[in-house]
Formats: sequence, structure tokens, C-alpha cells
Amino acid sequence: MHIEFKQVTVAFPQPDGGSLIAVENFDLQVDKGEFVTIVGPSGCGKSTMLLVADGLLRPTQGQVFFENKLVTAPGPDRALVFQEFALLPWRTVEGNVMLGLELQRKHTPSQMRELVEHFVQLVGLRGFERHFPHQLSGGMRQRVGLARALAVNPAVLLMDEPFAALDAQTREIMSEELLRIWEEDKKTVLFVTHGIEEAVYLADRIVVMSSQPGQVKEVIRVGLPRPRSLAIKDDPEFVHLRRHIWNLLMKEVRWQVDGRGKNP
Amino acid sequence: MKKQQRLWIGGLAVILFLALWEAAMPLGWVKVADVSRPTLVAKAFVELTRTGDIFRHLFVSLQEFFIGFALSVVVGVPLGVVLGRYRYPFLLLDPLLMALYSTPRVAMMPLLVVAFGVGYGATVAVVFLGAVFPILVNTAVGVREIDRIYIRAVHSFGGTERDIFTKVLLPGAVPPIITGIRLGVGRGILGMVVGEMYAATEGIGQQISLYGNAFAVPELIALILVVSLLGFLFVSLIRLVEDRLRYRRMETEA
Repeated sequence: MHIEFKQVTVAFPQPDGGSLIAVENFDLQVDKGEFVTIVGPSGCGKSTMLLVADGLLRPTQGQVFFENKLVTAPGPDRALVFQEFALLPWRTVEGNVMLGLELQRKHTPSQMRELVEHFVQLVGLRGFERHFPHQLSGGMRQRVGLARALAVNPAVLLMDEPFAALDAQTREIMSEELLRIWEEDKKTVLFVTHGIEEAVYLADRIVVMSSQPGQVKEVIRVGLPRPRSLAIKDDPEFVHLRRHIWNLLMKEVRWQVDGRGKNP
Repeated sequence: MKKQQRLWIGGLAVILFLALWEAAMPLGWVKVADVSRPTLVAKAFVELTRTGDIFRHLFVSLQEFFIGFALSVVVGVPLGVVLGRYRYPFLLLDPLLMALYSTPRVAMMPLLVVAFGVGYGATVAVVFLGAVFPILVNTAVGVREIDRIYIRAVHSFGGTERDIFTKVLLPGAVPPIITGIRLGVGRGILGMVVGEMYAATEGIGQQISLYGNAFAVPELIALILVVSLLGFLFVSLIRLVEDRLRYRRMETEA
């Protein structure tokens, strides 16, 4: 087992003195090399679980274990990819990919330059090394974010709605690219999204969450063969899974939209 | 508007002003003793440079300015970064600094003379006090406004607090720091002149005071122009750096 969430509950203190339970009793075991997507309505605490797995946020109750060790702080073995990219605007593509390596303090400068070159090429940004983030499209920026995370050679990739800020077409292409890169060395991936199609397309297993409080509603194994191309979205199995998850979430979303508050 | 066009129009205004000024006396608008004339000022300037006197005073003034200004950068930038990053030092020092900030530096002059003596020390101190606040305040605000997501990114890679300073807060606050430095230059030059006028035996400010008291208007104006040219030169240099940076790093939103 690579990552294990044990009865994780996260509550945030509220201005009125009370506390808001974002996630309650979250249990999940992720195997090494497994691609797990977490899908759920907004506010179900799915991103919160990534922060907990990274060590940026301590759970109120419960624990997260990484390679059987309790997670207490971020480490270079787990790399986060942000929805907002979080690229340093004053650094070039190269400089941004270099960031994680600098912080890791593991390589010589010439090794770091080689790694940067390799990962810039891997994500298809060759020729853009000297560009600044503001000179790139959204899709290209997230490629930088991905290269930055991959460059430190993490055991786990934590991806927090990485393609949510991109347009639909770019998003599809990026998820196909992600699978291509993932197939090379099959890192463990925890991928949070609110896109059902994306969740099915990428995953070995899908964790469907409900909201308020965020809880695991169902865990679904995806039996679709790999490597997958975008054409797999027409496969009857894919269509079935998509509909199934949509039905699970529809009730959730209805509740939210109708403003009827908490789930019965 | 094109840069050239802007220069041309601005230059025209300067030439027109000089022409009017030159003509004002013969036309009987003013007394020459009050405002002099550009040609007389130019003559006075040549005379001042010929004896070399002005360079000696300029050298003293610049020395005082650079020492005071360097001190204000050395103190203002790190202190500003700390105040921008940490809540408690900010809460602790904010009232004191604001009180000091809102006290006119000129009013402190006698105190500075008592503390540092006539001449060098007092002038350096007043340059420092003038320049340090804009630098400090701009740095602190710049640091505070850096998006927290960058800090989170550094944390997520296992970066330390030190990494956050060197890789996010300092580089991220460079544009506001330079803006603070530009504003600080103006205040510093003001401090330099005021300091020397109040209590000094040499320096441009002291010379201004001297020629002023002697009603030597052409020399006086020549010296004032030297000071204003100095300020203009420094500020323009910093503007140049600022523009370069602005071009290179426009902030990116999502």
C-alpha cells in the first residue's frame, strides 16, 4: 500500500466560533502505481484531501500514511500540481521547472539543468525555455506545472483540479498527454476533479464523494484497458460508468442547486 | 503618444520658459535682483565650476547622500520584508514607525545636530530618515501582496522559511522595492539639502544657504539647478530599471 487515509476528518474553525466539517471519516488506500481520481461536487473537500496527503494541512482527526509512515509535513516524495498553476511570474519556464530541484538540494547545478531540459521536453515545451508564464497559454502553463512536479521525481503526484482552468479542448488534450507521460513510469497519482469524464478516462479507481460533510460515497474500479486514447470515451463501459457517476452526483448537485442544504 | 513626440513637446515648454525668463527683465516685468536671468545663471555656473569649488561641495553632499541612502536600503528592505511577512513584528512596530513617519524631518533637525554634531553625521541621519520610510513601507506592502499560492508551492516542495524569503518574497517584491527606492531618492536629496542648510560647513545645501544669505541670486539659482538635476538623474535611472522589470514580468492570473 502506498498511501493510506485512515478515518480522516478535517474541520475548519468558523468566525462564529463553531467549526465546519469539510471532510468526515475519509478512508482510502491507494496502491503503488495506481491512478486514483477523486470526483465530487464543489465543497465536498476533495482538494482538502490532497493538501492532507501532501502534508500542507494537518487533519483534525485521523491520519494519512505514506509508505507506512505518518505524514506530518510536505516532502519531495509527494509533488503537488495546482489548479492555479502557481508558477512564479518572475521566473522563466526553465526557472520554474528548476524550483522544486533547487528546494530539494539533491543535485548539482549541471544535473539540475539536465533534468530541467529533459522534463521541459517531456511536456512538449521545447523552444519555450526562456518564456515567462505570462507569455504562455493556460495549457502551456500547466505543462510547466506538471514538469516542475515531475522533475523532483516524486513517488506520488498529487493533482488538484489541474485542468479546471483550461478550455474544454485543451483539457482533453492535456489529459491524454498526462496519460502518455504517466504510462512511462506509472507513478502513483491522486487526481482531484469535478469533471466526470476526466475522472473515468484517467482512473484505475474513482472515488466518488458527497458533500457537506464530504464523505466517500462509492469507490469504483475502472476496467477499461490501457493505454487509453480519447476514443475510449465512446466505449459502452465508459458510457456506463459516466452515467453511473452522474446519477450518484446528480442528487448531490440537485440538493446544492435547490439550496435544500444537507443531504438526508 | 510616441516618446519622441513627448520629448519634443516637453522640450518646447522648457525653451519657451527660458526665453520668457530671459526677456522678463528687459521688458520691465521684474527686477533682475529678484529672479536673475538664464544668461547670468549660466555665467555664475561656469564661474563656480571654474574655481572647482562646486565640485568639492558636490562631492561632500553626494558622500552624505550615498551613505545615508545606502543605510536606508540596508535597513528598510530587510525590515520591510519582515514586517510584510510576520504579523506580530508588524503590530509591534507599526505605531512607532507611523509616528516617526508623520513627524516632519525638518522638525527633528536640531535634535539630530545635538545627537550627531554639525555637518556630516546630522546630514547622513536626515537623509536616512527621509529615505528609509518609503523603502520600508513599499517593501512591506509588496511582500504582503504576494499571492500566498507561491508560498504554498515552495512549502509543498519541502522548502523552508528561508527558501520562502529568497525564492518568493524578495524576488516577488522587487518592483515595489524599486518604487520605494525611487521615492526614497527624492526624500534623501531633500534631506541632504535641508541637513546641510541647517547645520554644515560644506556641501551644496550649505552653499545654497550661503549664497542665499548674500542675495547672490545667479549663483543661488545655479546651485538649485544642480540639485534638481541630480534628483532628476537618479530618479530617471531608477525609472529605467523599473520599466525594464515591468516589461519582463507581468503578473499572471490563473
